[in-house]
Parts: sequence; C-alpha cells; structure tokens
Amino acid sequence: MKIVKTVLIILLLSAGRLAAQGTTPANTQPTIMVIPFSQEGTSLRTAYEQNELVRVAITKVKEAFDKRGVNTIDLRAKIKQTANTGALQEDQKSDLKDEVINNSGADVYVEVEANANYTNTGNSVTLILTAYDAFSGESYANKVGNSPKFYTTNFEKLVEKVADTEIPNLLNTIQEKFNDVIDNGRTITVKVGIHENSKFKMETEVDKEGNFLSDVIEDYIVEKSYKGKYHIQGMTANQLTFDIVKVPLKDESGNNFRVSRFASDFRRFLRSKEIQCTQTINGNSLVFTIN
Amino acid sequence: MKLNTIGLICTLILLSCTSGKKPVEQKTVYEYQRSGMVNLSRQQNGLLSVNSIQTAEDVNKAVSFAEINALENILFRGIPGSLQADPIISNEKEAMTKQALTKLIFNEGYRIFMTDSRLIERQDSKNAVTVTQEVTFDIPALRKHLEQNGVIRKFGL
Repeated sequence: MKIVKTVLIILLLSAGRLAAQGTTPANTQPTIMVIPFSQEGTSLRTAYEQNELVRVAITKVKEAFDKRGVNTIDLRAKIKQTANTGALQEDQKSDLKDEVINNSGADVYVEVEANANYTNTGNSVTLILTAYDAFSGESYANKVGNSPKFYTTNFEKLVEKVADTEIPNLLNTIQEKFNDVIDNGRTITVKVGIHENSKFKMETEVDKEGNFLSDVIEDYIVEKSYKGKYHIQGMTANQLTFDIVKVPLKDESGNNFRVSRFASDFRRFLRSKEIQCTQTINGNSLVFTIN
Repeated sequence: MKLNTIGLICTLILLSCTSGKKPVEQKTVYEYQRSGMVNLSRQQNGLLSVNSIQTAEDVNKAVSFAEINALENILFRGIPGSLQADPIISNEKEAMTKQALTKLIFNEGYRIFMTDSRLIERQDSKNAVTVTQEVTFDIPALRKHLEQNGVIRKFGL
C-alpha cells in the first residue's frame, strides 16, 4: 500500500512538472549580427571604422541584445575571419556584404545607420535600424528615430539617447515576428520547372485518376505545408512557382526543420509517380527541374 | 359632528407634520476600469515613467487604480513615443489565463517592479477624488519576470 502511495505521489509530481514545462514555451536563441549600413562602393569595414556614430549605435544595439540574453556575432571578428579565408579583400566593395553575412552563420542581421543633422535650432541625430532574416532576406523590423535637438556637437551622446528609445522597440518588433514564425512557420519558395527536353507539361496527366502534374504538385504542397499555408505566384505550361510555402520551425522530433529534407521528400514523391527531377537548394529557395 | 371634523383636521395636520426624511445619499462605489489616460512622462535606462489618471471614492483607492492602469497600459497597449511603444503582451486574452499575470496586476505583485509612484495632481469633487499619478516601472525586470513565469516568450525563436 505504501509503495502504491509513493508511486502515485511521484506520478502526480512529475505530471505537475510536465504541465509547468508546457506553460513555458521552449525557444532557441537566434544568432544575430549587427552591421553598419554601407553605401555602394564602401566596404563594411570602412563603414564601421570611419563612422564613430555608427560604432556607438552598433555597440548600443549589441548591448541591448546582451541584456535580453542573446549573444551577437562580432562583425570585426567576422570580417577578419572572412578576409583571412580570402573571401573578402579590403579593396572589395559592399556587394560582398552578403558574403560576410552568409559566412557569419547569423540567423538575423541588423543594419544600423546613424546621421548627424546640423540646424540653427540645435543639432540632432537620426538613427535607422533595420533587421533582416538572413535565411530569406525578409525584413523583420524597421525603426527610425530622431534624438531631441541640442546645442551640442557631442553626437555620440545624442545617438545613445535615441538608441535607448528605439532599440527596445526594435527588439520587441523582432520578437513579434519570431512569434509569428513560431505560430505560422517559416517561409520557403518552391519553383518547379520542366526541362526543355522533357516529355512532361504541367497539364500532362500523371496518374490513373487523370490528375494534371500541376494538381499533383499542388496537392502535395497543400499536404506538406505548415497548417496548409501556401501561395501560388504563377503557373505556365512549363513552370509552377510557390512564392510562399510555410514550413514548421521544428520537425516531429523537435529538431530544426531541414529544408533539404523537404526537398528530398518532394523529389521522392515525384519519383513515386515515375517523374524524375533534379533539385537545387539555395537558402530558403528550392528549385526542381523535371526531366 | 363638530368634534369629528376637528379630529379629522388635527389628524391631517399631524400627518402633514411628519418629519420629511431626507433621502440617504448613496455613496458611489468605484470599480476599477482600464482607461487610456496614460501618457509618457519620462524614460531613462529602462525605467519608464507614465502619468496615469483614475477616479475613486478615496485617494488611496484612486492611486491604486492609477498604478494598475499604468501597468495595464504598458502591458497590453504600449506607451506611444516610449521605449515600450508596443505592448509587452500581444495576446491579452491568452495571457490573462496565467495566474502569475493576474497576481502581478491585481494582487499588488506589480509593486516589486514599481520603482516610484508619486501624486502629481489631485482633484476633489463630491464623493470622488481624481488623481494624476506618476508611476515608474523597471521594464527589463518586469519583462524578465513575465518571461520566467511563461507569460511571454523569451527573446528568440
């Protein structure tokens, strides 16, 4: 009897613990990199090193992430690393920004621009903050803030002032977007094209029921997209493009959802219909070519 | 007959002389109701001060209402122009099912995160006091508390 009681108590306690865990949503810390805004023809390093205002603003943004318990990737270290691997040379220009971002492994990058404004009624600073999903390039949050006007040339102090207000709001908006991703999934794009030498067309019947190839593909996407959310950008005889296909953040095992797995599954599905295709994965874009 | 008439008149006079009881004035009991009368006062280093206006039958109750109103506006509406321009909690209905949140708002749990509360203005009217209270909250600490109690998600995916 005593043993039964003990077992019951243990079961009750563990049930309580499980329930408590259920109320606290588990989440993954994203990796974030804060970079300066760089005009065309200016390298990231130059933009960072030659503008003190930007450096102050970047430090403030990084500090805000630290306070929220998120570590940021150091831009300078990444530039050095990238340069060391030969991917970025000092004389190379801003179009290599993408390379630094890609090599950083950051999930999100925040672009910071700070400009000093001189007027007769006092000086101020404009701070522009933009956060992007490094995976898709989708904009997560945009904030523009102006400091109050002061008769001062201490612009660093003005940047701090405007950053104190705008950065918490930037983080809040990013979190709102994260919540949306958690609830509605990530976005990937799927393009299915037909090779010029292929016998197939989108209107070719591919099964006994007489379904068109396009119908079969769409049915698959309906079934596999997260909560059935997808959008067709357009369809021609040779191409079917889904500009939005929602995929979950985690798979059934709780691991990060792999786009490559989605691609393989789709390819295998087509093979089961005796359709051969090749696949290309570029970030969140999947391209299939039916042979 | 004469006596009867006199008696009747006397009775009427006596009845008309009954002391007219003044109707007892019923004291209005104020219930808390959230209002949007919360404006940014100042902000620095994560501390957010707002001016909140509320009315109640006595000053202590009005102050308490003003503090709760300030907190609710920060949590569910956001304060325009401040470091908390967006609400801390986006889904109020879902969040209010959490005991930690109701305790924070209605059982004076918020006092731990309220670093200052001062009376700015008081207006007395018949049976009511309207106060403008400047209330200061430590926003990062408040956010952390909500994260730890599963009311809001920790920053991240």
